[in-house]
Amino acid sequence: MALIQIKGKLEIKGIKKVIFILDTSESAYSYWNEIASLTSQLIALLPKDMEGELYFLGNSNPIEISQFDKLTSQFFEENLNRISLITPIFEKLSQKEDIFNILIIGSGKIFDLEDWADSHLLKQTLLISVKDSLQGELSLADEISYPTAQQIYTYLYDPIIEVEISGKGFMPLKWSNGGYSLNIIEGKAYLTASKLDNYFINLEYLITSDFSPQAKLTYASGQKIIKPIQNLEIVEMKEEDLNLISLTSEEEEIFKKAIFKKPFLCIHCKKTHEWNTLYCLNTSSILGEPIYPSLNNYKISGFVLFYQKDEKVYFQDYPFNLLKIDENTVAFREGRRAVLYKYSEKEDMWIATSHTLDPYSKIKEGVYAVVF
Amino acid sequence: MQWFFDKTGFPLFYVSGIQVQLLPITKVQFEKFLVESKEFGDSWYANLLNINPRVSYKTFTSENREGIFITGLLPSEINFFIKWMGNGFRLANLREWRKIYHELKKIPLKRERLENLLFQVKSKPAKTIIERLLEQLNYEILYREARRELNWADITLMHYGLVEWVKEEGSYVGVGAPRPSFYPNLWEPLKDMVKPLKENERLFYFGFRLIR
Ligand SMILES: [Zn+2]
Repeated sequence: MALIQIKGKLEIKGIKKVIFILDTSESAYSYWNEIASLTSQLIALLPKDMEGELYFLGNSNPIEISQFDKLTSQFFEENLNRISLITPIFEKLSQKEDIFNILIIGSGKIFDLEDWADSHLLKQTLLISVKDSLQGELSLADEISYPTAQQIYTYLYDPIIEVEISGKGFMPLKWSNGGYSLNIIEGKAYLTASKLDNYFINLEYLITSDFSPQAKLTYASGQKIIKPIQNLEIVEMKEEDLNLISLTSEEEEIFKKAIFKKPFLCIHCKKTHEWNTLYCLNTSSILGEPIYPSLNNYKISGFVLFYQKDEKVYFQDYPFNLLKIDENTVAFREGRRAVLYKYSEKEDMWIATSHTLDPYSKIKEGVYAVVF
Repeated sequence: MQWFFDKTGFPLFYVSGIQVQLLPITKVQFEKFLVESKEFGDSWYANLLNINPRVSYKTFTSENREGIFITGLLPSEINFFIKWMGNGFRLANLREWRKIYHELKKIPLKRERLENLLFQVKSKPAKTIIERLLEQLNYEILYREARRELNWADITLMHYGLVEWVKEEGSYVGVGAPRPSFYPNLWEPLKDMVKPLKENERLFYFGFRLIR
């Protein structure tokens, strides 16, 4: 299977999906005012865009959290006297792959809680008792009694401390969030970020067709979850709408010689340089001056792409560390050099070659890449 | 051997032309009814659990396995469950129960039959219970106490299980012989029947299974 180039994004909410389970059973309905007001206060504290569902103990049909305040008394009437059994809801939740914060708010023992001992669902559950314990004398899940909404919110707050994106044949080419950095470890490319306020990322990458990259999220609590990247669209290699800058005619002469590996006359020192010279060192600048003075007028990040069209030559800054060279090759820029990595499908590895990107490497018809 | 499954996902099989539930009704099955029917509430159920405490199907042992079954119900309450089960389910009468028991006692338990059942059963509680029970009975009967091969009366717990409600002449009586550790007795199911002294007395060793 070939690698394909795709655009995708990863959206991460600061807080995990919250599942409310409210107890309206015989052992709890006398405390309904406490249960309902605690729920309302907590809903008000939670982020507006948070995903969540609200269940009544013993009823596996959820309602939208946003509906709760409006229809509180109606829901109470409808669910009054349901029995304190969690299995119908947990059976439903166990079919979902999401990871939750499950809050069970009520009073009195849930008879079948023990059937879920050691389950991943119960590990994600906080029992909140407004009167009597929900687990009796057993200790199967975390439980707090008579808490304030703020205390529960503090318990729920479990920020992400690291995100790591990888996948079969995955190689990121461009990404929107500068907090992420690329590491290639034993042939696998990892895009990682830690301690960010915002982990949102748009990215363009290579991936084995039929596969999606996955993000591994690590929470402060130590919990890890895997979230797939949404593949948005396949990138077509079309002539992009580019912000192209013309070279001067003197510079064009240099370019036209250099691409044929011929020496050229330097604009700075008026001497002849080898075709692959990129900086003239015969100037007062200790770092040297780029042989194309026009580059000095623009912010150059590393890669520069030259376009030859109708005898004119243009350039464009390419502000990314990775450049796709062909179907299975990328150049990874480190400082003023870019190492070529080739993808081996057999080993599913990106292998660092001993080659660096030559100046004026042709990456497609009329397009040449140089690392400055 | 063909297996059938009721709406709770627990198995039934044919004996002498009658489809009979492999096991007495468990608490997990009964709880499905409690959730769907809304017939009984927390205090009613808590009271029932007081006389035969709930044991999780996931962790029951040789010593406490009677705790996974629903017991202590009155016949009138069982009728709500039967109505909820629908599909022609009913209590056996005394003669039917004894006929089934008599048949099952004679048939050695072939392990492949149960393996086949375990392959078909989709209910996780049902599968877990059968697996654990088989392991326990093998140890108790084959290796430790009786040192004999298992038969179908063993795995169905028609003996060394509960006293089970059956119908008899328009009334309800119990039949079966629990393990002495659960309820000391010298009953012989083919001869004896057990009559509660009071009609509305909850007896912790009385359970039931259904046939159709
Ligand atoms: Zn020069």
